[in-house]
Amino acid sequence: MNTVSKTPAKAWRVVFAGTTINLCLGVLYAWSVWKVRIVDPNIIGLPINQGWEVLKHAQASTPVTLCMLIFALLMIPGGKIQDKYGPTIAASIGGIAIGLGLIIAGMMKSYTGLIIGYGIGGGIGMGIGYAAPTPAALKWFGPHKRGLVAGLVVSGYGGAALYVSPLAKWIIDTWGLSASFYVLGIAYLIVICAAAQVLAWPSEGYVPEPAPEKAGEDKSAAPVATQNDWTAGEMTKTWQFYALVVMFILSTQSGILIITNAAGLLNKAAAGLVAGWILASYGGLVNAAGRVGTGKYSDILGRDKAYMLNCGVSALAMLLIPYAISTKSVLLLFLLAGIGYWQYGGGLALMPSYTADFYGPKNLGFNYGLVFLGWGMGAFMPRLAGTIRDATGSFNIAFYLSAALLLVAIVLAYITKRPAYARANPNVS
Amino acid sequence: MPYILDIQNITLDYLVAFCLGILFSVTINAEAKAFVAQILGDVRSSDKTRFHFNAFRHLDILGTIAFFIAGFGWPRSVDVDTSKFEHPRLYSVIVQCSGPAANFILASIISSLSLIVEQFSIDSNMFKIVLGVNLMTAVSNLLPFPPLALGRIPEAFISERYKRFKKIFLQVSPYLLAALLFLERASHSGMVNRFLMPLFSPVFSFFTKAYAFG
Repeated sequence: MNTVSKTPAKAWRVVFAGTTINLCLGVLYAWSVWKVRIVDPNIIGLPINQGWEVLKHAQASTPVTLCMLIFALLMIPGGKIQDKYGPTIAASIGGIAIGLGLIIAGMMKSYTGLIIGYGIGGGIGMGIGYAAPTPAALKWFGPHKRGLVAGLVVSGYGGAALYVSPLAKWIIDTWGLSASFYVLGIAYLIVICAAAQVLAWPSEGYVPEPAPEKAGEDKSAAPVATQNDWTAGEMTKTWQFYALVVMFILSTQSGILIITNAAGLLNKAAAGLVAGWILASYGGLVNAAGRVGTGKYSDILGRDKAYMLNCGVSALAMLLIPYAISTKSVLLLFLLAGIGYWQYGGGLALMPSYTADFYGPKNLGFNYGLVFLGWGMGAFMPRLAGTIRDATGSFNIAFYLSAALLLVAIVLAYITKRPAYARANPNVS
Repeated sequence: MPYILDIQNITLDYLVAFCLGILFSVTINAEAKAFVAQILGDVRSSDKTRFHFNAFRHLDILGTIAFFIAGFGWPRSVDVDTSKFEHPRLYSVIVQCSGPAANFILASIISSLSLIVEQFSIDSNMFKIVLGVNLMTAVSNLLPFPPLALGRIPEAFISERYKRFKKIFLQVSPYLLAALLFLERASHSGMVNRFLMPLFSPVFSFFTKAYAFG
């Protein structure tokens, strides 16, 4: 065991390589830039877009939806690849798939090309690439820095919306559709593969820098993070695993419910006042900031208190939404949408750190993949809200229900403490 | 009609989404069974057939063919050692039911995700194909033929004396089922679908209903 007194510079390079990779993979969030242009005969008819076919409106969303589906299908196997072959291999596969995919989309200039390149290539790239950076970066840090590190790495994914949309728009308007795919494809191929080389695990026996000791601190208190590396099988036998999944469900449902309502309302209420890209950038910015911010204060307050804080604020936002809808106050809607994006992004930074604290960094790629199922299940809320509106004539009960669920989440976070390895696995010494 | 592949008018987008539907269905169905078996006591530490989430390794030849002719199918069977269960009969029934239950939950998740992307003006047709295949798989497990869930339940109650018979039946049944589905497709009689549609259609329309928020 060689405990390092100071986190090596290499560790921070891994973090920023991870952020860079996610900044590339987040291209998914910018599809609307292409979507509105590939169906427009006036833009496709320009000489710079010669050879492109005009897509039907029903076709314009196919590449991005296929990309999301493949991403979802490959996320857990991607975590396995990361755990088995290391982050460099996983991220490089991701970079090659997404880079070549975009280049193919640019070359084929057709619906088929977009399906193969953006949908399949992009989906494979994101699914396998997304799983690599976060666990690799977390292995270098002790629990007192994990929140910030996870936040920084995943903020790249949310932050991509900030630059990809304007950049792609500018390239399309200046050099044409194909050029936008070539430039991004080649850039991602080079940048992701280069950043992948920086990603690395610490050597065997590495023990991260311990938390600075505070004066008067009770040294006999149990450490906040496990010293053992749990396997997925061991993890699924602890009730805390299910608690984490439920917590992920509960935080995601509220974030998504606020975003779908407030963002939808903002689009209508603020149309004409501010440009559409400001709304998109605002969402991306708060989404990214929520990841870093929540991660940072979870290191200081503890994961449970950070989670409770986010859920508490979101619950208040839920109660304000009916008022905001009736008054259509743009300022209030901006604030509420911001809370929704913060909550949504914050959950994505908190849960990997939680998983690492509870079950150790070694199998984090796969273990977090299982916890991530909660994110998917958390998406149930809008459908339920729609059903509630059918039954009652308004969404209001859905907001109150969501707020009540957040209170459940707060209680759950309060009682969920780290499982003890020795007690859960008496046969393993 | 549910989502099945129309061989005469095949399009790439439909084909890709349909194949994704198959991969999602078999993965979630098999992993759920393995997961529940694990929780109920059949613990495997180094089993290669569980918890890999590798969709391609869950594909069963007949089960996959069934997807293409009937819109539903089944994964490669998950190896479960019922002797490790505290209550072998009850638990193996639960394990069998967890597969279609997981397909149903996934269909519901995709239903919500499609609602969310629609708020951002993204068309959710591809999601609906994956949803349809999963829901169809969930519903089809009510057919009393192994390897579908309802067909696997009696086997828990067959005495060990008829082990040989049981084994042969389990091996032959998927072929019979596939042949039946093929016959249905070729004859356009709807002899299997007429039992599934009354359950599938209302749930599918509930899952795909559109809402505008805000």
